[in-house]
Amino acid sequence: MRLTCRLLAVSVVAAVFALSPPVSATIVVSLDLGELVRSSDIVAYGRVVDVLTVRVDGRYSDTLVTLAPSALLKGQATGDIVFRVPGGETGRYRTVVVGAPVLRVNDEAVVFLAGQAPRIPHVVGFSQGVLRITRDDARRPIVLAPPMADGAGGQRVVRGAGPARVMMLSDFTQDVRAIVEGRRRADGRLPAAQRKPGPAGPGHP
Amino acid sequence: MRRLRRDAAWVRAAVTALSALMGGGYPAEAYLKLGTTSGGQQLGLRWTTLPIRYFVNEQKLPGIGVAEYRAALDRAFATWQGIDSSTVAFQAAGATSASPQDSDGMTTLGFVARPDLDRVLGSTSFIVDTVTGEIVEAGILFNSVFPWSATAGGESGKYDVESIALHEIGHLAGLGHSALGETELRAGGRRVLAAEAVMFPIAYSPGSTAGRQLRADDIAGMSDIYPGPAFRSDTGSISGRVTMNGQGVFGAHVVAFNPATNALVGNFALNSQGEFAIAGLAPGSYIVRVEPLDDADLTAFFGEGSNVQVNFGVSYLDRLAVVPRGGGAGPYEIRVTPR
Amino acid sequence: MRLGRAGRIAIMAVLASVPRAAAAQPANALGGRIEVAGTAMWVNSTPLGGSAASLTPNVNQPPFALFSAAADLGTSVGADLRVGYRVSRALMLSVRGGVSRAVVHVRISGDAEGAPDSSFAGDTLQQWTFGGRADYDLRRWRFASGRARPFVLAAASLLRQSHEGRVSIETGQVYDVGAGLAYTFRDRPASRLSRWSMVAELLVTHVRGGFNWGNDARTSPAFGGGVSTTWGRAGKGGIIRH
Repeated sequence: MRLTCRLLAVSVVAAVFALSPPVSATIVVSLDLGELVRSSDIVAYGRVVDVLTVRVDGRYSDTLVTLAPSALLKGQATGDIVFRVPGGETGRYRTVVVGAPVLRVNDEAVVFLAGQAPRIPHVVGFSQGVLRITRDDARRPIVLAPPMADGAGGQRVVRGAGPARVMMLSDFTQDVRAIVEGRRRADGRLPAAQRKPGPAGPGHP
Repeated sequence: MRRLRRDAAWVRAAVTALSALMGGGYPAEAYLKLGTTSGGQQLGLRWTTLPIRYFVNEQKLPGIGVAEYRAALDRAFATWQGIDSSTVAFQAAGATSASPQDSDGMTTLGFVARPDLDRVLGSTSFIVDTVTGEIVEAGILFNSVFPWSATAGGESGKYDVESIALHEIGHLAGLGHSALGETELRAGGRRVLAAEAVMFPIAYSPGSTAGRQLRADDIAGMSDIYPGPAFRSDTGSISGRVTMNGQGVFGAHVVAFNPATNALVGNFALNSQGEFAIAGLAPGSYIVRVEPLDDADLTAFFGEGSNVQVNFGVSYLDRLAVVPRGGGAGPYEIRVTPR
Repeated sequence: MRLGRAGRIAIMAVLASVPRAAAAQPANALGGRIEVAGTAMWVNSTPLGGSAASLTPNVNQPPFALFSAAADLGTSVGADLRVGYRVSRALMLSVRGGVSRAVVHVRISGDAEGAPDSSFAGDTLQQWTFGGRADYDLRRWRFASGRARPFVLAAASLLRQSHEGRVSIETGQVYDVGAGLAYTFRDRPASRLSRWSMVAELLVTHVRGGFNWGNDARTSPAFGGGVSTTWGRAGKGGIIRH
């Protein structure tokens, strides 16, 4: 029995390794949804249609991501939106910037960007400014939204009040627009904050 | 006892063999390790040759002296190198005028003004040869748009160079993030209440020097990547599954606590079956706790954050996990309930 | 003939020398010096201590505990066996060994994220002790025509504990002091089994080391009851009067 248990433990460890996703991380000052929106010049969601790694000043690599926007939630843009993220692959060499978002063609995401033309905007809060859009079991678009501190700016919130939560994309965009427009409910909460918890996400009960 | 030792040796051999077959080179045990995908192949970011040689750019230091800056870096490198159970080693190769962002074949640390790396205090990058899987070079940059201090006691309102360097050097060696920390949500963002790993992704407040000391979780992780001669035989592991309504919970954070030593070591359920393994544990009895990842941005841990399950409450394993020397406890099933 | 004071002292001196003389005799002349006793032991539950899973706080933050855990070692029941040598009428020195089992009960409380307090039976400890013991008969306080013999005892032992399936081993020391009562049912000095008695004893057990969560030295009451047998025939001049 003990040998069987150890065999199972070995299998678990090996399987865990085989399915370990690439890890991204660096040390950041964390943002809530409100600060993400306020710090952004452009907030949009759409589909990635192109990625191109370029050399900057001949020294390091950045990737230019082109997003075909389905909707613009903040800021102004005409046509596709191009922004840059650190790192990328040129030839046989890949520059991995720990913590930088990695986007591929056909990825769907909500992006929070800062930077005014003619400069190519960058992602706000590093990887925090890219929220991937996935589909629930009914193929509806959902995002894992960052928490939002309730109440007016500067008001302390008891820890645990707002973990990241899965939301319908439509609800999330309503919240973003409410922040952009300075709208809040009478109790200070965002429009979608008191709805029943969103779908559990793809593949989850 | 002889049968126990034979079992432990067999487990180690089997794990090593299976990992080699999968091309990864080492088992994913203690906690998250850095990696990248290229051409469909997963590449682990780990130095195959030690010591790791590095250069320091001493230019454009934001209000700190060169000597105290170098001393802070030296202390940070020495802290990792001082781990008894790990062979990780670093070697200072001198000063350079090159930037940590330059592709010059040198691993360099330095300050760079990067306002586009928004809210990023420090960043580690690698250039990897996708054909051979080798690390060509690496760089650690400290973002000079923030206020910094390199004094021995820290300075109010300034981020501590030694603490941030200690974290980034962990990445340099191949360590990912740890979720051993608790935060509170305030208007504007999260603030760290407390953490028990240098590799927690969110920094302590300016003025803090609490991030200068390695914790059990950090030591277990580094030892797992660069194990000392007796590390695997002297430590053990806990494995199992996290389930909710019978289904696996991907991304659950699992923490093992030893009340006799106060050591906390964590890992994650890393697949859709909710399977986890925490290794590098000193022999003894552990309480095992499971919680959702709700204290930092999920993308700090997982690239595809939206697949992570977070809508469940904290739960505990309903027994002690007794970790043997050189062996494993479990597998256990820890059931969580929807929040 | 009446003995004077000096004469009585002389006779007492001769009688007092009998054990030494007996020690020089062959074994079968020692008479009742070897005692073998078996006892069932019950040891009260003991707090093992507790600890908080603490995280290092941020600047100007209070200490932070993720949760707290405490453990008790439940009541242990076991058996004790000792083999003793009676060096004098009152004093017996023994070598002893014991085995017992106890369940570790764990309590978790104060979870920082609101998980309810919980408790569970965490682990079963198998315990072995091996050491020495001294029993001293309180001969002046015998009663029931001398069959009932109160005694005091002290013992020191090495402790070895293993968690389930001998996965993990802990060691420590155990110190006992106590008192008891032996009631003799059979006393035949001429027989190989010269005496057997029922024994009951109350002890205070002090444990150092072993499995604990910060409570490295802990004391608890214990109770034992069993049978004591004395072996060896009385030889000429070799009787130990009980």
